[in-house]
Amino acid sequence: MEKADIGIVGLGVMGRMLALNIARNGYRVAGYDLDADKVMSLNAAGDGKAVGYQILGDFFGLLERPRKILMMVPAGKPVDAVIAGLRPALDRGDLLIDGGNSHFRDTERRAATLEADGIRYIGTGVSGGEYGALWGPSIMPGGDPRAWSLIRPIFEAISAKVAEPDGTLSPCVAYIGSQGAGHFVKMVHNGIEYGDMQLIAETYDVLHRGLGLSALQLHDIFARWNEGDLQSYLIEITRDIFATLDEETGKPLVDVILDQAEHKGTGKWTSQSALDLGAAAPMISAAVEARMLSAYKDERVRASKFLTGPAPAFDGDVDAFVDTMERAMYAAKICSYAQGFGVLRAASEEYEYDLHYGEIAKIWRGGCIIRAQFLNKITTAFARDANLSNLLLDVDLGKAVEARQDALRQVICYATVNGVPVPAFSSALAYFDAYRSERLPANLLQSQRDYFGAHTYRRIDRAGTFHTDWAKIGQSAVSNQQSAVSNR
Amino acid sequence: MTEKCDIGLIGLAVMGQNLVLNMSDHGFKVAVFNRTVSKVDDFINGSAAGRTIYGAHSIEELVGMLASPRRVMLLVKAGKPVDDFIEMLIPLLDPGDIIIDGGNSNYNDTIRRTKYVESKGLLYIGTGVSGGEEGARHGPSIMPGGSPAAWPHVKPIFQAVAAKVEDGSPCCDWVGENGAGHYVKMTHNGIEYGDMQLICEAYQLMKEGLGMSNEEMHQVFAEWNEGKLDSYLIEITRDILAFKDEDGNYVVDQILDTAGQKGTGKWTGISALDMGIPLTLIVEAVFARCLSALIDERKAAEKVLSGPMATFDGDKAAFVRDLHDALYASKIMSYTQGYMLLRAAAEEYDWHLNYGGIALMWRGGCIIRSVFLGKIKEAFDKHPDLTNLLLDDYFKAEVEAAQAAWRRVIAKAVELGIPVPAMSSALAFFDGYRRGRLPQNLLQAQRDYFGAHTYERVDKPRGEFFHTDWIGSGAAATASTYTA
Repeated sequence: MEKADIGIVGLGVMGRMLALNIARNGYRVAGYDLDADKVMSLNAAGDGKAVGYQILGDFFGLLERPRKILMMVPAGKPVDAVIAGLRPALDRGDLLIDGGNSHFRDTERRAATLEADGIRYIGTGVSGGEYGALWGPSIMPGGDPRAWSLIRPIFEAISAKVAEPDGTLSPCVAYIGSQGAGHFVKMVHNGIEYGDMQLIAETYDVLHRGLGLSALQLHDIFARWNEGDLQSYLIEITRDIFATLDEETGKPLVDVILDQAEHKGTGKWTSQSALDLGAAAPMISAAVEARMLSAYKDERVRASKFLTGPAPAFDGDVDAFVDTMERAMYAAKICSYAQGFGVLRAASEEYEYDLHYGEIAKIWRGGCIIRAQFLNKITTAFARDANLSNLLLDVDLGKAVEARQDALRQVICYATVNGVPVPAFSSALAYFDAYRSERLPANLLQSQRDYFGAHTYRRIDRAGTFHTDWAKIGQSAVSNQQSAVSNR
Repeated sequence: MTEKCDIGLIGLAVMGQNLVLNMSDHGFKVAVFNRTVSKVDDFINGSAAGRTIYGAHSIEELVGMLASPRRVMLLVKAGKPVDDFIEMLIPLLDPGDIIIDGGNSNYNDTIRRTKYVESKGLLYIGTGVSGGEEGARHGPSIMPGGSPAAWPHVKPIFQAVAAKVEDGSPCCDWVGENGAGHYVKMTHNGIEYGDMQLICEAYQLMKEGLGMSNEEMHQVFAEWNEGKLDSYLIEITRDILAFKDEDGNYVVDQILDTAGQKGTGKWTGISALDMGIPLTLIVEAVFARCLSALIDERKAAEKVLSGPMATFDGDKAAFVRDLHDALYASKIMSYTQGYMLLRAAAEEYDWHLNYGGIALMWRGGCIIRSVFLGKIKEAFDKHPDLTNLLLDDYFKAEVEAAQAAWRRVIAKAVELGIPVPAMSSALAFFDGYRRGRLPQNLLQAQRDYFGAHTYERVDKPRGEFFHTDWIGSGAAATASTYTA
C-alpha cells in the first residue's frame, strides 16, 4: 500500500465506518486494532484503500508525515492507554485526534501533556451513529487551531452536507474552539438529544397510555409531525419504530421492549456541568433523571402494586389533542435548546472557548442525532444577534413558545390530573414561566438565608448588602419554646 | 487552669465562638486558638470571660493545653485552610490524637484526609454541624464521620452540646466511615434547598396567584406550623412575613429576588447524577436559584414574553388547604429522593449508615428540623431495611391522601403561569415511581435504531440483548445530504 493520509486506531463499528467513509472520499487510510476480526472486517470492505493492521509498527510505517491519527476507542482509560502506546513512536508536529465521547476535562489534560512535547491534539465530537459515520456525520473538533488546519480537508470531505437554499452544500463540521471545546459541545449535543428523546417518550406515554392510541396510529401521527415544525431525525425514526412489528409475537416491537434506559456518560455530564457552571438546564436534567428512574424497574413494579393513583382517561377530541401535543412538544423543545445553548454560553465565558453559537447550530443540521430543520431558526437567531443571551429572547423562538404556551399548559394539566408523568414537559414550562418573571420568590429565600445564617441580602431599591436581626421580633423562631422542635 | 482541657478549637468566627460557649455551658474545658491571634484575646476577655475557656497564642501552646488523647477541632473555611492546619498539627500530635473538621468540607476531601491523617497514626473526624449561629450556641445537629476509633472520645462532648428532641435524645450520632458525616451534611443541605424552594413556590402561588397579603400569608404559615408541616423553615417564614422595618414596611418585599447556589446544594446534585439517583426536586431547586440570579435577563424577558390570561377565581381558603397538601406531598418526595441518595452513597463508599439515626440527627438543631423527620425515624424503626420511604405504609397513606389536592395545585399553577418546578418534578417522580411500565421502551428502540445499542425484552429473561435492523424493516431515515 502507498503511504496513508490518516491512521485510525480502534476499528470498532464507529472506527471502521469512519475509515470506509474517508476511503470513499479518496483518501488512503491505515487502521490499527489488536483484534484480528476487526482488522479483517475492515480489510474485507476497504477495497485496498482502507487497510487494517494488527502490528503497530506496520501501521506507523505507512503514515504520511506529519502523522494524523484518529483514535476511536471508548472514553476513559482506553484513551489514555492508546496514547501511552502511541506516544513513543510520535514525533513533534504529529497530530493525535480523539474522536470518542471523552469528557472535556480529560481532553484538556491530554492536550496539555502532549502539546508540551510538541505533539498536536484535537478532541472532536462525532455524531450520527453507525450510519452517520459511514455516510456523513456531524463533526465538532476543538483544540489547537493550527492542528485543525491539518485535518480540515478530510473532515470536510467526510462530514454530512446540508444543501442551502442557494444550492451550495455546507459541510457539517466547523472548528469549535480551543482546548476541550469540541468535546464540550458534543456533550451538550448529547444532553439535548436526551431532552428530545424524553419529550418524545412522554408524548408517546400521554398518547398511548392516556388517550389509548395504538402504535399504528402513533406511526401516522409521527409521520404527519415529521412534515411540520417538529421535522427531525428523531421524529422520523420514531415514526419507523411504531411501524415495526415483532417477528416473534406479531405485536408492535416497541411494546415488547423493556422500559429501562441507560444513563451513563454525556447526558449526565451535561447536567453536572450545568450545575457546576450555574447555568439552568432543568429540562435536560429531568430527561437524564427520567432514565435513572426507569432503571428502577423491579422497584417500580413493586411500587405499582402498592401505591395508587388516578387511572388515565380521556373523553375529549382526540384529533384536537394530538395537534395540541404537537404544539406543546415544539414549545418544550425550544425551552430545552434554550437551556442547552445557555450551558454553551456559560462554558464559553468560564473556559474562554469563544464559541460561535450560530455555527454550532449550523453543523447540527445534518448528520447528527438531533438534526432538524428547526436548527436553522437558531442559526438565524444568532445571525440577528450574535450575543443573544437566551434563545427565548429571540423574536421568532420566544414568540413561538409564547404562542404555544396554551398547548403546553393543556398537556401538562391533562397529564397531572391523569397521573401520567411528564417531568420534561413540566420542567420546560416552569423554566419558561420563571424566565419570563420579572419577580421570583427568591426574595423570601434570601430572607430565610439571612434569618438562619446571617448571609445578608440585597435590596430592590438601593445598592449594598443588608442584614436584619429577624429574631428580635416578639415571636422569634429560635427562642420559641412552644415549637415542637426545641433547641436546648 | 489546673487540669488540661477536654478539647481545643481553632477558628473563632461566630460559629466557632458559639460552639465553644456551648461546650463550656456543658462543663467542658476548651482551649481556643485563632490565626489572627488578637481574636483570641478579644474572645477570652469578652463573651468567654469567667468561663472554662482558655486562650492559646500558638498552635503549639494549644496542643500543650490538651488532655490525652488530644482532640483538636477546626472550624475554618473549607478547602485549603483545612489542609494547612492539618499539616501544622500532625508534627505536634501523638498517636491516637484526633483532628476534627467541623466545616462544610466536600466529602471527597474528607475521604482523602481521613486516609492521610490515619497514615500518620492519628485519628480523623469530618463532621457536619448544622443550625447556623444560633444552633451552634444552643444546640446544633452534629453529623460526625471518619475514624470509628475516634468516636468514643468525642461522643460525650458532641452529644452534650447537640440539640435534643422531646425525649432527650441528642441530635448527634456516629454516621459512618471517612467522608460519611460530610456526605450526610451535604445531603442535608440539598434537602434544605428543596424545602426552601417548595416554600417559595407556595409563597409565590399565594402572593401572585391568589393575591394574598403578607399578613394573610403570615397567618397561613403560622397555621401550617401547628400541623404536619411544623418545622423550623415554616416557622421562620411565618416570622419573616410579619417582619416590618422602622418605617412600617415589610422587609421581605424590599429584598432582591436573586439567590446564590454555590457549594453543597450543587454538590448534592452532582453526586446524585454520579450515583444514578433521580434527585429531581433538589436539582430543580438548584436551577431555580440559577434562574433567580438572571435578574436583568428576566426583566428583559418579561417585556417580550407574556404569560397566560388566566386569573384565580375559585375558593381561596380551599386552595390554601390544597396548597398545604401539595407542599407536604412534595416534601415527602424530596426526602424519599434524599434517602435514595444516601442509600446509593452507602453502597458506593461502603458506609454503614443508620437511616433512622440520621433522621433523628436532623430532627432537631439543624435547618431542616421538623416533626416530619420523626415520622421518617419511625418508618426506619419499624423496618430498618426499608428500601424506599414510599414503600412505608404511613407515607403511602399520607401521599395518597394528599395527591388529589397536589394535582389540583399544580394544574392551577400551570394554568396561571406561576412556575412550580419543585412541586411538579415531585409529582412526576411519584407518577413515574408508581408505574411498573414507563415509556423508556421507546427510548431503547431509538437507541437501538441509531446506535445499535441493543435492548432487552419484557417477555425474555433479563440480560438477554436483542438488536433489530430497523432501517431494513421500514422506510429508512438515510439521507447524507440534508435540505436547509
